Amino acid sequence: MNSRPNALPNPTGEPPLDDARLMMMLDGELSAEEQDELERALESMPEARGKLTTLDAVGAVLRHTAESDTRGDGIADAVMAAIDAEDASRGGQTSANHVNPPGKSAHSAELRMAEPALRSRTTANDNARSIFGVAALAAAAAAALFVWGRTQPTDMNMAFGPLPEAPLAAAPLAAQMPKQLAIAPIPSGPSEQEAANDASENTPVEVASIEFGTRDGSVFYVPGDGVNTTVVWINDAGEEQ
Amino acid sequence: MRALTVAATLAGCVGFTAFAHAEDKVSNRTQNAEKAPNVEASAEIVIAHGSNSGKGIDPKLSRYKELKNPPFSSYDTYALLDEATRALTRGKPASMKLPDGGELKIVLDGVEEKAGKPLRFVIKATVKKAGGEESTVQVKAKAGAMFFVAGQKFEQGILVLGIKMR
Repeated sequence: MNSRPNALPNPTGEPPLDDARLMMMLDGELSAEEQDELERALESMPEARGKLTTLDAVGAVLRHTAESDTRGDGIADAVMAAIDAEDASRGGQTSANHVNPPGKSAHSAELRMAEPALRSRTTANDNARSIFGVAALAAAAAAALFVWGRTQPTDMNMAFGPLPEAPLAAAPLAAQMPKQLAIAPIPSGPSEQEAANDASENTPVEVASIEFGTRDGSVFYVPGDGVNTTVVWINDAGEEQ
Repeated sequence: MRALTVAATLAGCVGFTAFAHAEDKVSNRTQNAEKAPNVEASAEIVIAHGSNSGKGIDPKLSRYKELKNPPFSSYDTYALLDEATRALTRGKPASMKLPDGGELKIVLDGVEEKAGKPLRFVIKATVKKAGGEESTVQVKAKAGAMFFVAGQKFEQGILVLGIKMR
């Protein structure tokens, strides 16, 4: 009996494949042996492969979105400018604390090496970017799990399979995906119910259940004129009629 | 202070009761609608062929902006093959032949109403290939909202089925 949530039985007899293990695989957190072992197991688990593809795709969407969001890029520069201004107001103590923007002064690298406080500031800036990256990945993971849970009712054979075949799959995911998935907010309390209702307003066709039969497929919410159009995509590997 | 607490509790109870009552009314309407015999609706069906033959999107399909977005943008050409309307009676399947020899079957499972007007239709759409393979999706669709079932292979491309409930 498997007590792990979202765990799929592993035919190799190894621990079952749950979401966390698949995400560790995507994040490159498994050892080479574990990676090989998991890849072998996935060969005989089409459902897990589909799930892996979905997790990867959603991660790509959110990473792309996070990377293209430049709203926070000016914050670090503004903070450093404020510090510069404060230093200047103290009487030109630029030799100890003044920071030249990286790349704008030949001495900036030396100053960073010589001044611990300066190193600290630079590191803090880098950490902020790292935290944004980690947050984006965490959001990707959460969104993937949410999408998976939301679209996998008990009578559904396969809510998410591989993405549509050749033409789309061959195109770069980052270029294809952002317009492709609309992820609704998760209502966590009465105060967020209105937001959930708004999301429902934007998606006038809700998928209650899917049975792909011997095939598999995906559900897409394609942005249209103010609403998201629901698209059930059958991944038809059979011969053309 | 005690009076304030009592007042707040009462207000909470009233609010909860009103909310529960409203929920019950919606639920009852839905049940009544589902129990009503011969609930009628109609499904407008559009059948298109997607391919990569470089001919662009058929002007007759230009109102479907979705065809320019993923996953549809995997194909650069969309041609309108057929359009039809099917009257639906609850529980009775309405069908339409597909160009690949298969069949689209739509069943109206129920209607959610608001103020006496259809709010959402619960329908089941089954796409059957000529070879017998079936895929079935059950959706809750607002009146006038289009959804698509696509991806079934056909003549160097795919079939795109658009369904709009009225």
